[in-house]
Amino acid sequence: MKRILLSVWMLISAVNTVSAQKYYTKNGNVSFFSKTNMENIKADNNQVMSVLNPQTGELQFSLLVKSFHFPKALMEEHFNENYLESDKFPKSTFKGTINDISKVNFASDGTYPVTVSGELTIHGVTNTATTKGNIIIKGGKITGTAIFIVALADYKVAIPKLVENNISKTIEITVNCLYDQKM
Amino acid sequence: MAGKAKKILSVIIVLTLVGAALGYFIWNKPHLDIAGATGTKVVATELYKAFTTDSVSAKQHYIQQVLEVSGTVNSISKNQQNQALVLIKTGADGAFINCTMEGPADDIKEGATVAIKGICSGIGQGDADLGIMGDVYLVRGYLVK
Repeated sequence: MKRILLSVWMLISAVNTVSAQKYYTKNGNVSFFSKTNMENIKADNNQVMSVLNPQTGELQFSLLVKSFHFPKALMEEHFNENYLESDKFPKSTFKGTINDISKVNFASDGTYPVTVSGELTIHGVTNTATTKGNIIIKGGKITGTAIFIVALADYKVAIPKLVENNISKTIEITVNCLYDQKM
Repeated sequence: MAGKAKKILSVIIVLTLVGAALGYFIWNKPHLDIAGATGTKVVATELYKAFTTDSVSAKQHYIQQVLEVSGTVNSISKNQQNQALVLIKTGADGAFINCTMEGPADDIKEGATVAIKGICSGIGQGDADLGIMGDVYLVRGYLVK
């Protein structure tokens, strides 16, 4: 009897452990890309905090706007002071769900295309965003990637007339996070 | 009369050249030389405490400033861009001064006491439900010899 109870208890513990598993990173990557005939601008942020719940598909990420690094110092200044106003709006966040998380077999290596939807907050403005991405499983490591195409006007980011030909009206935000496991 | 026009034209050309040169230098202004900059010295435990106890004051004093943060190395790894990532202990379990290095990090060892100079971008978001603490981020880090 004792053995049966012990086995049941161990089984319940194992199920609870699996269901409680979540994955996180504090150093994921988000890049920003603007392409115009005048110039291409790319900036990277490698200080992105993200949490993924493989059971529910819940996904969130948060970053400090001041962590974006541009090739040119002046671009970085303008990005922080004039466009994203990072003193006033220091963080950008996404809180949503991977809708088809059940398609991902976390125990088997592979690239699983998924759809992500949720609320994206930039420059203090929150909009619903849906995009396609991939969950990549390789050797037990999980990487999440997605590209959001964002219209700057939707987030009340104003570009001065003087440089309006240098910055695209829609930008690509690429998310690339390699997760660690958190029980 | 022709001489006067010539003078005006010369002035316009000089002003245009000066303006173009100025614009070029501003546009190509280099990033702050962190390795050569003087950083405000602060101990990792104190820096983390400042952000968690009085974030308004911490933001005013530390964000976008060059800091020289000293403390004990918890771990060293590489991020997805292959940059060295050094976590300095803060005294709070699971919370670190999270330094992304621009300079070499080969001499940094786990458990060693170091001082790293870089720009502070603030404290990141944690997740209270999961017990994930927010780190204080230092970017463009250089090991102080």
